[in-house]
Amino acid sequence: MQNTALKQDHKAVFFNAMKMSLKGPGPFQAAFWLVLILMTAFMLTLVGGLFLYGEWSAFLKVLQQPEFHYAMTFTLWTTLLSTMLAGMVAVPCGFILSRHNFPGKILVDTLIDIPIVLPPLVSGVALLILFGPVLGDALTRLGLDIVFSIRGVIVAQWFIATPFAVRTFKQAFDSIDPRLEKIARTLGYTPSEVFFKVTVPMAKKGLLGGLTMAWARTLGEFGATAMLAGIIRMKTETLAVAVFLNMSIGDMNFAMATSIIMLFLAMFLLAVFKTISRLEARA
Amino acid sequence: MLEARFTKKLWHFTLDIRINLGTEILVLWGPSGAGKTTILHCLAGLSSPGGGLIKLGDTVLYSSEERINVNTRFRNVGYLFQDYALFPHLTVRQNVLYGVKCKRKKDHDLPGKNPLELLEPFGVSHLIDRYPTQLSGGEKQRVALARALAVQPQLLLLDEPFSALDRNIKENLRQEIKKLHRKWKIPFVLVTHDEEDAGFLGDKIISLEKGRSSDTPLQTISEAASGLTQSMP
Repeated sequence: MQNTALKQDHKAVFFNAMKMSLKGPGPFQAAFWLVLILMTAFMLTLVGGLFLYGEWSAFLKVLQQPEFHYAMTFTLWTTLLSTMLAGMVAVPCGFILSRHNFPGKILVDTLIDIPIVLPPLVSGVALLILFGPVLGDALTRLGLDIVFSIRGVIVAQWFIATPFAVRTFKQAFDSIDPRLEKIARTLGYTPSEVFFKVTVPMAKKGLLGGLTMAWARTLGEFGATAMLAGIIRMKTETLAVAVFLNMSIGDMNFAMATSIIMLFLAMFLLAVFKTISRLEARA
Repeated sequence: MLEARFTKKLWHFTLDIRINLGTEILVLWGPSGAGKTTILHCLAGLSSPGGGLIKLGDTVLYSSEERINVNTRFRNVGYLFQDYALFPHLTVRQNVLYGVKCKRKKDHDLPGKNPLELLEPFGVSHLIDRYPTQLSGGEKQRVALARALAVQPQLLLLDEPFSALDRNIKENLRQEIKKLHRKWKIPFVLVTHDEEDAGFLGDKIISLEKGRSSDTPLQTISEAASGLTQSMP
């Protein structure tokens, strides 16, 4: 008796589900789907437009120009260097912010976050004032000029990327059970061994993801670089600066080609990031 | 073996504990929030007491008078957590050998016995190349035990070791821990809120109520526990 009732119940549930799927989503869900589809179409058109507008032959010609070569190599090595520097600062900052409580922590946390909310142009102005009027003379005497120099590019990129790295690293460290670190200590590990043999391997994916995102930030960095290092052809000319520079003098082909290359770089980094976070989800 | 008397200020009260233990099993029994885990942390050196003395064998681990506070990694204390805390990125073998490698490097006198043999009496030696996510709760806890014992501790601390386990697994593991204790002949300090655990394992029982400890006569608790067992169908 009971069994058949149960069976009927199952049948009812099954048919209800069938009806639902035949009817399709209700108007509320349909509206949400519509927005998602429109947004996807918009993004596709946007990216497609960039490709379709330029000419293939002009694109190849730009790739052979020395200015493009300079901007490409200059961007790669400066962004890699500034990302590494950002990572080196972010590891201790992120770890302390994740594991310890101290008076004024909220204040420190907020201070480090400032470049995230500050418009990059304003960051650039602040950096310009710090390394110009405030510290400029001392730096010149040491031969370490920052303003309007290649060093300025690296400083600007580092400044924009570091808070991102600190934030993501802190999250990576937060996600590790501190008990695992305690266990390692009872097993005889020193604090540095615990950090490098337990904390870092376990946070590895989060750290790599954070570095990728920080790198993406430095690749696109324009505002702070323009303010601190200036827009100087073949000197402080990153890819982003090259787009602006050539757009402003009317060399559309150059600007378009560089934009497309930057789009590829960004998509590549996004793919790397997604792969890393998918690995994390599976582990 | 283990002699400890110390105080520790907590949120709402001050913990005041006295332990005098040979090679028996001491059960710290009480509701959550009574400071049981804090006591284990103080014994392991994971947090510092407010004042007092902790002595294991002839070694002073902590003394507020002599300003001694031995670092966790030199204390030779095994620690077992409620939810096993196995390193998720390592296999069972790597987990068990994790502490041994570190000790071998620093202290070459460590007996060369294969620590992986520890897995055998627990019946988990066939799982040696698996990752913790591929193990059941009971298997994880046995691996965690082997890892804690692999470094030859002189004191084993067990923090609610059964509370994440199913009833029958829990009963088996309780037996195994008792056997293990007879074999190793070192003091065990076990924290639990379960009367049955306390009655079955405790040679000595300290019951804690908001930091105040009282040496509950073993009789009452084991009576309570046996009463419980009998009432179980």
